[in-house]
Amino acid sequence: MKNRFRKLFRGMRRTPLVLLLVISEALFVALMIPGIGGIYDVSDWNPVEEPLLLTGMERIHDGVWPWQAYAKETEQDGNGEAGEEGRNGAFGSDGSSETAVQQSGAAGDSLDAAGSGAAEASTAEDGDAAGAAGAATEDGDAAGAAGAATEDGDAADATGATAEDGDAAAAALQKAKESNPTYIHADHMPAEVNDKVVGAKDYGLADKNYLSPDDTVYNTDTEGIFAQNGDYYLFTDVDDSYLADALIIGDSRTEGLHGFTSMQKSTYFASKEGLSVYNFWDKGVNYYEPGEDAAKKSMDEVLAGRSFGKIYISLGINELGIGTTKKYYESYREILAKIRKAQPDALIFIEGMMHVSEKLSSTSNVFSNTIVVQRNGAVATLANGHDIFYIDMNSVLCDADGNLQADMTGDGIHLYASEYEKWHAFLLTRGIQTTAEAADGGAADGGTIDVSAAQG
Amino acid sequence: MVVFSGLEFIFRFLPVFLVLYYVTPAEYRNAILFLGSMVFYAVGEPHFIVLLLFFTVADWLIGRQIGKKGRAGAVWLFLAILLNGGVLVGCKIASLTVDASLLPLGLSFYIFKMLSYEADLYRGVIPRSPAFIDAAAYFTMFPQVTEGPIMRYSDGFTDRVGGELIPGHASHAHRPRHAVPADVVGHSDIVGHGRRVHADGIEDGLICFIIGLSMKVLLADRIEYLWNALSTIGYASISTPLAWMGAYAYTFRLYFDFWGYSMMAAGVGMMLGFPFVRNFAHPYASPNITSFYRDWHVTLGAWFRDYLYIPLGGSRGGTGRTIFNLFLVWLVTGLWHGGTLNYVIWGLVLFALIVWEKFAVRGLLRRFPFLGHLHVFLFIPLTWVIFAIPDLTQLRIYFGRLFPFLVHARAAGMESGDFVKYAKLTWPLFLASAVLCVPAVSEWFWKHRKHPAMLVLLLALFWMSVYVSANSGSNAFMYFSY
Repeated sequence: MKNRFRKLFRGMRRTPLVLLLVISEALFVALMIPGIGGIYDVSDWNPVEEPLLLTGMERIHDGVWPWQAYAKETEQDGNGEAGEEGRNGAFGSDGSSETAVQQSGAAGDSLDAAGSGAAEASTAEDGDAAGAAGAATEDGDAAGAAGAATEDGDAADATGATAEDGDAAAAALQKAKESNPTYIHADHMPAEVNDKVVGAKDYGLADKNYLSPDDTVYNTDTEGIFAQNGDYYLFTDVDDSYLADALIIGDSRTEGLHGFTSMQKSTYFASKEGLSVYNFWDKGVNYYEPGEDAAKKSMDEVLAGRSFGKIYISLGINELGIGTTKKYYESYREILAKIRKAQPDALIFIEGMMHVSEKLSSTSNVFSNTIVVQRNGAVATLANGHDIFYIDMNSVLCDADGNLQADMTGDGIHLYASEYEKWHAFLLTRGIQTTAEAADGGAADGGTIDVSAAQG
Repeated sequence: MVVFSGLEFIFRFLPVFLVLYYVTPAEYRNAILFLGSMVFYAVGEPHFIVLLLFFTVADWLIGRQIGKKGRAGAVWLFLAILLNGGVLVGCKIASLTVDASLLPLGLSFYIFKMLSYEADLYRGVIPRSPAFIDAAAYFTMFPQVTEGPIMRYSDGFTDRVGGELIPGHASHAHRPRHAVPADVVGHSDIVGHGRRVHADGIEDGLICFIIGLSMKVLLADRIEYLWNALSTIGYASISTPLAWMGAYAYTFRLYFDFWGYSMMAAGVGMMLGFPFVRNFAHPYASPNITSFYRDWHVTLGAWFRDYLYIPLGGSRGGTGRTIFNLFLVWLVTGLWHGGTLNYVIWGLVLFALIVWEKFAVRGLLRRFPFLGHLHVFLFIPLTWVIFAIPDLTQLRIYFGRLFPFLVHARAAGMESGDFVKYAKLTWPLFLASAVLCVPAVSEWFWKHRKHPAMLVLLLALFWMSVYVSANSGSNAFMYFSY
């Protein structure tokens, strides 16, 4: 026995790399242990499936080094998982009224501006938003009681300040609306306002872990965040100038839209590196101003940087194999609410995820159109027909079974470069011309009138 | 787990297996190797493991008959060829016509090992039929079962540990010149030696493994990105310079992926006490295409030479016969790689190139050696494009972009200056690939591998590879990034 050990030690002297490797691994793991529960999220953590070393490596990829567990624990909490929970928390039942208050506050500001005579189209849209907030509160059951009360007060103040600005403008706006062929006035959202979710053949392979039960309800708590005032607009054809004040957000598919089409007047926030609803706020992503090279920016920086008239969002393909549809929907909703807060004037277009090819959908349990369609259906419920719209390009890209046409794609997920113009062309058929945007000048006054109309 | 660069293999299977293997007394190590290989294979292929076991038993039984050296030996060998070859061809056809999942993991490789085993028994290269557990360990050993190298039984199995030492034999001529760097396996590079675990072998095995791992993960997998990007864009929409970049990207991707994999396999083998099996001998430094294929996937080329080309008569039957034998060998080589038409075309184009070199321009190449190198640099990447694209329509489009004056295949959506964009992204990978193609570089590296600075470098390469693996698609726990 003693001899064997002696032999072993003599052998070890001749294997320095083996020793270094074992020691370095032990050191890495030791270094990472204090981060468990701190910088390394341990909720639903299974060390068999996801060893600590791997988690640590992945976090380094996100810019979190193991030794950050030792320094300033409180700061870490703020930036790390706790922060994420905070974001989630904002969407509990209290959270929704909180957001509503914020929104009406912002609207109130813009109303003041309108009252003092600033006559810009964008201000007029603010007016619309304010009207929308007011209407929701009036209908009010869905919003939390406390939230409704606060908002009522705010809205009343705002109206009080501006209502006396005259009936003439109201009449002018109503006339302008009626001359807009895409305008509809209705108590409930008409069915034809948003695109229908395009279906697809179910090959029965989709992994159940990534789906939610068919009877899952998605739209119950959207009321109060995205309010309604009775004005709707149908999609209409537009040209590229319409997209000049647009921000186009998306994953690598959207990167292709930027790289291979003539749609070059818009601003893009597009990642080739797996942008998803789960890492949306954490990632530095390629940001392209028209005609300029990419700069790396986070979404927060982009939203704070300037205001956009339209925001298009195309996400979902990278997270098909993560979480359920319900979880996806919730993160998506959170993204919309946060964008709405930062960009209260923008029209938001939810682009339904482009389907995958038959080859993929009929062989993969993740890249399955069954999952894609369910998720599109879930996020489509977030569209309110006023300032958030659901558009579904699959109507022009898919075959009769709802599969992405085989001759349009090499990998089943991305369009060939030569096919991206079809996406561009599709977007140009899905413009929303609000009366406020269509009309010049006086429309701003119309915004204020709109609120009083909602009050009355 | 069946991928060596996978973290489950590196951090779980391999260390556990090695410890078990080392604490097991030498005479039981083949049993442990067989059991470990079964676990390894079952994880990747839980159904077709039955087929592997069937062949293991059947080929061992047939081998016993062949080993009896009776008159019926030839009949038994014929039966072995019929059985192994028949199932291999059958599975290949089924995977093409019915479903791709009908081609069991590693079938092409283990069948070839089994055939070489039977042939070597018949020819007496393996002097007597081995015990079941030895043959089974050889057929199924996990470092080679999925992707080769196609090691011969006599490389580490011939003499039973503790048994009589069997001297070396002629079959080792299949090793190419300078196949084993003089000091790769220290003093133990003796042909036909017994398998012995020793510290130097473990250390050198680990070095080989890390070199292979980093070639695969840090080079091949990353340069593959460019190749994949082209098929995503659609070949019709790429510029001609980008098409050429793509051809070289695939060339390097294939080389470092397969060379890296072979190095990892050889490294694990060395840690188990086997001799180093060299599968790549700097093919891109070859002076012509004929010798390129002597140095590329050495164990497969040697297999075809020893068990097909030479039995057919090789080059001793006159020009016509030689050309026919070459035709047959390259046709089968093409089919072995895959059953679709592009592989057949690939094999036949190589056949044509080799015949052209051997008979048409032989004198010219001898007088101007750089012409032969030019052949390699120019034609080999083009043959890889044929190898890479199974869809003939797509293949035609790709060649249309490579040679725009031959076929007009341009479509809309082309980015102007696309190759500049990709060159900016990938030039370090191209540079590293080119440098590693120079034999002197890796010889220098190998010579200085025990230097402390090299140890640090290897350690860094290992952890970089792990880091990249952990954050890429090859990490089983994460999803692809689009």
